[in-house]
Amino acid sequence: MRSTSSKVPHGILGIVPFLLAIFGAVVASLPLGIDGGANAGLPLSLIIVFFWLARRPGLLPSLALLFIGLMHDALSGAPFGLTALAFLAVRAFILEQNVFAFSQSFLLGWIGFAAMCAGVLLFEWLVMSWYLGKFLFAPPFFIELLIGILAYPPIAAICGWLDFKVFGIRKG
Amino acid sequence: MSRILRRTNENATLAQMLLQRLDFIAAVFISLALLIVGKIDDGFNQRAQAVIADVAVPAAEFIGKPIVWAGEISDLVNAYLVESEENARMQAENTRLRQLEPRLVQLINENERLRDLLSLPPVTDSPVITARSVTYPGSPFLWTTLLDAGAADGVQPYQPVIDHNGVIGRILSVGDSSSRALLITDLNSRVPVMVLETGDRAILEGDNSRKPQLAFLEAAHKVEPGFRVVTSGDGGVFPPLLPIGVTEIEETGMLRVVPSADMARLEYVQIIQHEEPAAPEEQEPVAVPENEGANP
Repeated sequence: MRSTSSKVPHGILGIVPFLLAIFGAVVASLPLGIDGGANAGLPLSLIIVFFWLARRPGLLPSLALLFIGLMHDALSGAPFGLTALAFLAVRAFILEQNVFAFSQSFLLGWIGFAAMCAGVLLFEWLVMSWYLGKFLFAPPFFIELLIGILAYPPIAAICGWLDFKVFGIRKG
Repeated sequence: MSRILRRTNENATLAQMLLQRLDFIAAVFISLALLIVGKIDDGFNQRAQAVIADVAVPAAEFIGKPIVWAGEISDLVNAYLVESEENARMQAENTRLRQLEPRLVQLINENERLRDLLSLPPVTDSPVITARSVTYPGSPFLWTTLLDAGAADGVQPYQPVIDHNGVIGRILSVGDSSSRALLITDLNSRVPVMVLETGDRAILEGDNSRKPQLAFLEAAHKVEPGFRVVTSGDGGVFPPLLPIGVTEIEETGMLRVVPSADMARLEYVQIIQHEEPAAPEEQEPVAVPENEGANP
C-alpha cells in the first residue's frame, strides 16, 4: 500500500474528514424524504469517505473507517461490520491501484465515485443476500446508486470548499 | 552522515507503511469477525446496535432538529394557506363523528352485555408508550426504525408498535433510552393476520417491498381486493383486531396488503405494552365437588 504520511496535515484539524463522515452517517439516517418512498437512502457517508480518501487518504486511516462504518450500521440496522468492510475495500482500491487521478479533475472524481458506489452497493447486496439467505429485492439498490451519483457534485463541492478553507491547498 | 540520515528516514517510512498495513489488516479482521459473529449469533447485532444507538439517537435527534423545524414551518404555512378549506373539512368530519357517537355507545353497551352473558373477561386497554421515530425506516435491505424510547421507559422486545393509522411492526431490540422497531414490510417480519370480511387467517410476510404478502391462506379463500386485514391475535405478540391495511391482488394472483400506515413517513408511534393472556393450562383449575360423579 502506498505511503500517505506526507499528506497527513497538521494538528487537530486533521479530524475534520472523520467528523464529516460521522455527520454524514447521521444525516443519511434522518427522514430526508428524497427517495420518494422508494426505500433507498442517500449514500452520504460513502460520498464523503470517497472524496477524502481520493484527496487526503492519510486523514481517514483504516481504524477511522471501521468506526464510521460501525456507526453507520448501528443507525441503519445493517449487520455490524458490513459498511466498515465496504469502506475499507474503497480505501484499498484507491490506495493499491494508485488512482489518485480521482482528485485531479472533478469529472474523473465523479466517474470514479459512480463506479465505486456501484461496486459498494453490489457488494452490500451480495453480503446481505448471503446474510438473509435469499436474494434481496434489487430495484432500491439502483435508485440508491442514482441518488448517490446525482448527490455527488454538490456534496463534493462543499467538501472541496472545506478542504480549501481548512487545509488551504486547492487540488483538482 | 547524510547516508545515515537517509537510511533513518527510509526506516521511518518503512515503519509507517508497516503500521498502515497492520492497521488495515486489523480493521478488516474486526469487520469480518463482527459480520460472521452476527451471522452465527442472531442476537449479537441487536445487542451491539442497541449500545451504539443509545449514543447515536440523541445525536440524530439534535442534528435532525432543523429538518423537524422545516417540516413544522411547512405545516404552518400550509395550514395558513388552506385554513378555510381545512376548517370546513374538519367541521364536516366533526359532524359525521357526532352522528356516529350514539351508535358507538349502543355498540359498546351491547358488546359489554354479550360478554357478560358469555362470561368473557372484560376487554382491557393495554397501556402505551409514545415515542418518536428518529431515523428513516427504509433502506435497500432493511425496514427498521430507531425510536427514542427504551428500557428505561418500559419498552421490551416483541411489543407491538402502531401509529394513528394502524400496525407498523414490533420491537426488535431495546437499549436504555432507545429501541429499534422491525416494520411489517421487512424481510424478517411475520404477523398472524385475519381478513375481516371473510374471517380467513393468514401470515403477513414482509419481503422488503412496500406491500407485504399474504401467505398460508387457505386455497379456497374468498378474499377480494380492498378487504380489510387486521391482526388475528394468534401467537400472542399482537392483540387481536388491530388494523393493518387492505388487500390487493397482483397480476400474478399474489395477494398483498397495502399498509394503512405510511412507513416512509413515520413520526410519532405508540408501543403497546401488551401481555399475552394466560394459556388455559396456566389458569386456575375449576374446583370439582368431591361428590360429583358418585351418583349415576
